[in-house]
Amino acid sequence: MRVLFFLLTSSVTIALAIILNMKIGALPPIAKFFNPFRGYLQNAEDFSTPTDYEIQSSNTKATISVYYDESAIPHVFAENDYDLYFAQGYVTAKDRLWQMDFQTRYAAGRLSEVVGKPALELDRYQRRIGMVYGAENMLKESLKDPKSKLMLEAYADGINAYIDQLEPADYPIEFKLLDYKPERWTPLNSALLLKLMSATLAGGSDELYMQRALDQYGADLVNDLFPNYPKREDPIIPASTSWDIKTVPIPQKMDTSKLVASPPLKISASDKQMPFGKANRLLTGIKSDGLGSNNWAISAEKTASGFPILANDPHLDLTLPSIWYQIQLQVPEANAVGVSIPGAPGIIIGYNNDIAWGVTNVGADVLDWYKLDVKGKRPSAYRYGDQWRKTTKRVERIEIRNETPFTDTVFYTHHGPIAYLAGEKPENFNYTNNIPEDHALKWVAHLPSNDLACFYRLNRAKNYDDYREALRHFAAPAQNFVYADRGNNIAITPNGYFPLKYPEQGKFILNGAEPSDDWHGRIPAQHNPTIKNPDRHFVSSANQSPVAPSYPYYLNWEYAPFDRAYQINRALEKMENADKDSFRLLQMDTKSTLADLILDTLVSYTSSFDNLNPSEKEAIAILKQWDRNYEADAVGASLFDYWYTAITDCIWSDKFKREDKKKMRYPGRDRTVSAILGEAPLSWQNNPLGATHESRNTLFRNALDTALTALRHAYGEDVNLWKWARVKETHVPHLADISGFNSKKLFIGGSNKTINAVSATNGPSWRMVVELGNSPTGYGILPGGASGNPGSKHYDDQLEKWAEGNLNKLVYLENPHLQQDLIQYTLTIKANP
Amino acid sequence: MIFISILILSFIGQLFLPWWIILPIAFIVSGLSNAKKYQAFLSAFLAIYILWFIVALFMSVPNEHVLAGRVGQILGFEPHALNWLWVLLIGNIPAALVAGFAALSGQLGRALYKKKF
Repeated sequence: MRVLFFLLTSSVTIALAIILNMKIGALPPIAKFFNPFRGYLQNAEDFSTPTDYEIQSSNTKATISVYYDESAIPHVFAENDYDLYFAQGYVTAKDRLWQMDFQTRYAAGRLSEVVGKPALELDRYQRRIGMVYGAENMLKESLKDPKSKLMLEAYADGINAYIDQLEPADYPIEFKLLDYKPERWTPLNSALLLKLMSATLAGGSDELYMQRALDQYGADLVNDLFPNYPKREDPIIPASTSWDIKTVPIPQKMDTSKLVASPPLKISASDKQMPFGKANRLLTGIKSDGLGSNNWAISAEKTASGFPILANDPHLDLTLPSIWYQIQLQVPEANAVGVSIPGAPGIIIGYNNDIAWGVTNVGADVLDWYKLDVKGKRPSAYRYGDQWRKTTKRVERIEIRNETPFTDTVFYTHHGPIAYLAGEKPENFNYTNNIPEDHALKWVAHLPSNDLACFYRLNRAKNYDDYREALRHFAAPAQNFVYADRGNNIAITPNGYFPLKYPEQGKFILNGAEPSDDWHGRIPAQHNPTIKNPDRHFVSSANQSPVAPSYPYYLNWEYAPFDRAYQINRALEKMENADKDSFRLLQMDTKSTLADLILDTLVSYTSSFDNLNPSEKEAIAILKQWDRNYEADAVGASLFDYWYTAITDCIWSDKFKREDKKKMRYPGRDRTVSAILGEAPLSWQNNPLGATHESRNTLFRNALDTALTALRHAYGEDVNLWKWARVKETHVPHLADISGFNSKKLFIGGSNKTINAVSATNGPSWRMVVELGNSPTGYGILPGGASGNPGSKHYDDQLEKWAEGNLNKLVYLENPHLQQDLIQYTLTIKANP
Repeated sequence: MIFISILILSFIGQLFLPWWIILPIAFIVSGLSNAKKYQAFLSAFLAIYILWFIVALFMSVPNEHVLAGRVGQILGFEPHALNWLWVLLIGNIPAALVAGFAALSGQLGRALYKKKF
């Protein structure tokens, strides 16, 4: 009996210890996690100021000093490029290791390794769209360039020097929660993170929805509702610009009707035709309305200082740890400061002594789907012209935590991967909604490129020519590179690899069997649109059309709505004696162009009813008084936003269903506005706006009622509960959405329709203003902070200021010995040969 | 005696070894001591509970309890200024239980051993 009792108790003890040492479901290993000697409390940083310290490295060549300022931003002073990027890798890993690891796994389709089966479809998706394929192609190309090779390898060495000296107690807290170990870094990881940027910014695709509309309604209606250039636009390169370009021959669309019959089955060897070896790839989300960014620069004629000023605020899905990592990188011949991507060497947005630069997304059409005529369920071949071409196979092995690995085979054509064969698309996985089955994906992110070379050169650029040279090296995701220098030049260049296409090529699904539907190479880099020192003394971009239709090449048929660009350009036209505050205030502008365009019409039509009920009357009264700013406490903003959404649904939802399997997309904002204003009547029969005044009244009023019901339902009866910030609920979620690591809710203004583009969880991921001069003065703010550790005071120490719309003066060290007051402590990396 | 021995040995042990070193420590210390079963359990439980609490406090105070407060939110607590304290008070219980059961097993083992010889 006693023996039994002993055995029972001992077994319970041991079983309990094992369970508490194990990750179970979403729960971390409890005792391991709460163990104060090695668990989460090891990540509870001491809030007092750290003291100077020193480490040794056998990789580096000379002594490196890293000065930390009061925001815990590192300022690296190195003697040579290797040491510079080594130190960048080291300090970035020190602050952001988990973020780098997790994002890399996300991009590479390797999340199942650490979170198990729930991530399997996501992993398959990333591999099937060729994320790794693209990253491998990029890496191969980048390693051919000695400078990029050095950057990537030094950076990886620095990260690994940090990882190698970690004890489990030192791992970032997320590793402890998810119970896995950091992995050593490789240059491929850096390429994957750059691919992730392409996935976010140049991965949108609505060809499938457009094709469905074309098949169902025909070309006339589609041309009317989805025009190739909006009625209202304010392009990046002013419409008056004349194009002095001797163009390469512009391809024409072929008549493909004669190609319908299948050719005899004769398989040609096609491996050589595989575009870039074999590989794998990325993410095709839906283009989202309002995902975008602003940048602009004005020349000395408009500034108080007599030097140009430049601003940039890239809008992304906000996360903690912050998307960007602030850093200064100094070697004897260059001294740049700004923000980097944790996981990639160099500075992406920033300035140096002579120039400043920033980026916004272009939104050119660089992703296309090709309909295939395939042979067999596991297709060995596909039709191309009058022959059959062989596919190649790429086998993807996905490791799954605590389970047997999953093996997936992806078939590649010369276009790119066949993302999903017929019947392969998973149920209930919305990433794949816009992916047609049995279609090949052609995507700029699969092409070999050496984009880091662009940033290497921009970081060191001294003048306009250096800027132009740097831009030649950038492929994807295409960006509007704004530029200003202290010699009073300003410029902007929508830049990247733009495929050479016939007009509208890729607006719909392309024919994978038709050689003339292939991309026809690229638009020569020197023909990319650009403008330098325009007469209006400013340049700007906000993701609108880069060019007016007079530009000789086709880039895309649709861009972000012009609202932000319009507001920015009107403000810059008027701007005189500007300083950094003029720019800061413009970045915070919440005026709605859309409301200016349509609200009077909506109100006057709706007011024409003499039987409005009290809540309709109240809404109309509030809207009449609203100043059309999306301010935090504006009830009018909520009413207008909900009303506009309801009107959009009333107009388009019958024709363009958004839910079921035959999902389509709505026409753009520009076309909706024209329809609302009656400028361009809707031509189809039974159109909801009808031909009569009455039908318009009724539609607007019904939509208003829908909006009011929705607001009441979500926020309560009292209109005072409908303040815009309460409705919008801005907050910054943690990358893995761990509740305690999210930011609190922020009561702030802005919307995806205004310059200050703060929506629920999307917005300016970095705000920067740079005043050039004999020595530059920069200002910037992150919706977060330098550290990725939720136990650091620098995890979100900038968030409050960001929410208020203030900027920090950025520390730019030129001679650290004379600027000791700006330095909190120093990390010295000694070379140890 | 069991209490203080487990506390000191576990402190030293955990500086170098994973948390589960408290299991053999509690088992052996208890097995070598003459105590009532419930006493052994309680002493070991309290030794680890208090040791972990003190060390946790030592880590959390310079952090102004920010991280412990965030962990409280992960555990589902509504935001509150004293969340960190709850986290420190609750987080120690599982390991303290292991120590308690290990000590109890130690006493049971000791009883077996004594009976045999």
